[in-house]
Amino acid sequence: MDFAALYSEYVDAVYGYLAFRLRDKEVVEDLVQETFLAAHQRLDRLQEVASPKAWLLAVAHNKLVDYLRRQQEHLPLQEENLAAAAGTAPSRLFIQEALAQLAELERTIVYGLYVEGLTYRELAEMLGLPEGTVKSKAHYARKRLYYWLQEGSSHDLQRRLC
Amino acid sequence: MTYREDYADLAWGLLHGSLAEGEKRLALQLVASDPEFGEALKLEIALAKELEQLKASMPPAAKRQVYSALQGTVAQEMFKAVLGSVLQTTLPRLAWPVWQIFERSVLVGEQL
Repeated sequence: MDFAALYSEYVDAVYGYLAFRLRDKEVVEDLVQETFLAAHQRLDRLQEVASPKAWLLAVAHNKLVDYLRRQQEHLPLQEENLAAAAGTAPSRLFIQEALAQLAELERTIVYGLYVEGLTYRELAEMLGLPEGTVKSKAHYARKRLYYWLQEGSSHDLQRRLC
Repeated sequence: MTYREDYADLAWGLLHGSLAEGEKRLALQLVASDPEFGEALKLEIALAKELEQLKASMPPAAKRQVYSALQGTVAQEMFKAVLGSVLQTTLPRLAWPVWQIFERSVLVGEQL
């Protein structure tokens, strides 16, 4: 895959992940650029990678961690971050509410699994964690989200009935 | 909470197509035979649907802008590398520090 094809295929995934984690769109675009610059410099190696998307997301994640370390200003994922990432349609508040209850690592895992369709192994490599840790965090996050879904649905139903 | 812990994983794997053949067979059997698994599957579908909304695309204008900035940076790096190696072999040793000062002041300035 040449660089132009790589960029056009995966830029949305890289942008989506960074926008999910950061509020400032200019910083997000800078980090997208840094990620793809790193990809360009390692284009030969990238040809051998099983999942270019997982590899690019791992690079993006490392760039993000570096940026946050430089800034010393770790912005927790608040509702406005999520709103910025996903737009502001009222229905999206539903999921924002649920994700706000999770720790940041769990949110990242949930995002990777459900939004980007990464495997546990790919997420483990991306986050530099053992696969078992990713699995157990995912279990916990799911449990919370299931609970929220069940509760949310019944509240929603009640709201509609009133 | 009525679902079994491992059912959630199995349901997720079934939806994302990441199960091995044996697991897939088991999951499909459970769909037909175990209402608890059916419940886990329903929750997974609902969760996936909710989370799908978080998928964000980069605005086309930003995509083009970042791509052209990348091309500029890549070209500049190639130019620096080629020019640097050409000069390294052709310039007299004494002139080398002058090139480095030039490189810092001009090329870095261009990047800004």
